Amino acid sequence: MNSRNYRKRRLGLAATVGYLLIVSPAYAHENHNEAPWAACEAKQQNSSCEFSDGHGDLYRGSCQVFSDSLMCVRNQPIVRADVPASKTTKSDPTPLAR
Amino acid sequence: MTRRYHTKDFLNPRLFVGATLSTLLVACGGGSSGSGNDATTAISEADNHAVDTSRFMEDAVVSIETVSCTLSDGSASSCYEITLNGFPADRSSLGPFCPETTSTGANDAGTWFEDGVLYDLTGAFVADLANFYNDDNWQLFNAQTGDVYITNTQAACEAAAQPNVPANYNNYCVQCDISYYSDEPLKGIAVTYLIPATPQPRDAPGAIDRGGVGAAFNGVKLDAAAPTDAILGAYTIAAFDECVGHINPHAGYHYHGANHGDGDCPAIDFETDGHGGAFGYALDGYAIYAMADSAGNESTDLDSCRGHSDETRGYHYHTASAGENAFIGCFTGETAR
Repeated sequence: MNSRNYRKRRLGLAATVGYLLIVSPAYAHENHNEAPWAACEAKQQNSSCEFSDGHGDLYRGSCQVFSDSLMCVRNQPIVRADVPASKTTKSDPTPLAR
Repeated sequence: MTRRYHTKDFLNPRLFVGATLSTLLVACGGGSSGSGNDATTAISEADNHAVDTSRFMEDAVVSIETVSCTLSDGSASSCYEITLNGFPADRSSLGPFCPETTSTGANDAGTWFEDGVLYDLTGAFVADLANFYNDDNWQLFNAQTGDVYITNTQAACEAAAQPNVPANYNNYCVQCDISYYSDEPLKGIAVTYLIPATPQPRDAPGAIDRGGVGAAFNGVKLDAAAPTDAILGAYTIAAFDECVGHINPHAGYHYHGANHGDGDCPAIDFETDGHGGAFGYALDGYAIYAMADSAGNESTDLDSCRGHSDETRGYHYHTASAGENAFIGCFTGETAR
């Protein structure tokens, strides 16, 4: 490969990488792993699991398969927390949960 | 339009994508025989109640036939082939879904769930998504006008309502109109379900796949968990209405949670003994009941599929709460192939 072609290929690669990083933010952001799914990472089907919601309430259950992914499915009553909500919005100080 | 889901459908990339979009209180009366919290319940013959197709609302049903079928364990059986019209027979309209502006209040907006909690998808909620998700890339509205970016056309809805959302549809509130897929008022996309006429208990729990969870008595599909990772990864919100339902091109209007009796979402009556009411059948033929009883209490003896037995109802499931992106955890019975 001569130096001119090599430079072209490097420019093309840089342009492609730049496009993916700038134009398509989804490619740079793939870790929206919600709590019910995150609770079953590195676990097996039927393993015990638990997660908390934005209000501190506790959900306990087991890891179950949904479309090839493991998700924590609660089978015990929700354990209510007395702590203030942590996932409300700044613009609306009242909790938006229904 | 009728859509019937079989395993082979998911070898078809278009159907696979569509289904992916779609791919969510007192302990039951006396005699509960649940076997604990981590395994499925051993179901006696007396607790194994046959499917009662009369529970489906008349206006929801297109047709019901009894057919021969093969269950997931390979055994031959008899199933009901139930075609439902896909529009909730207990309602006259769908939505609202996305808020029009950052000033839109809860009465004119739908819902969204996160980590078990169902939130009002108000304009204020949309305006604060960057804070909510701790990610400054969220910008679902025009900062100058306050208008929320909404998929207002069929082309936009179909572009954004898929796992691989084009970059130009990142940061959209995604909603589709049922009129794109149905010419008649109060009609949706009809779906056919194959449900064992009498449930056949499994030796081990069966996984819920892209074929969904079951069918509501009002004619709406009970879908598997929404793929929130893909949805949020594209900075989109696949807005639900108050009944935790939304529309996609393939399943039509479908539920990802049960929210009966909240706001405008129709309630289901409690049973005479205070047990929560049933609202649908799972694909294995066991009925699904409300999460809580008339006193607001949940059952304490649910198995891993969220089922247990009592003398009145036999084996049955209880749905998870409206924000949990699930109805049940797995199938205790065999499903039809």
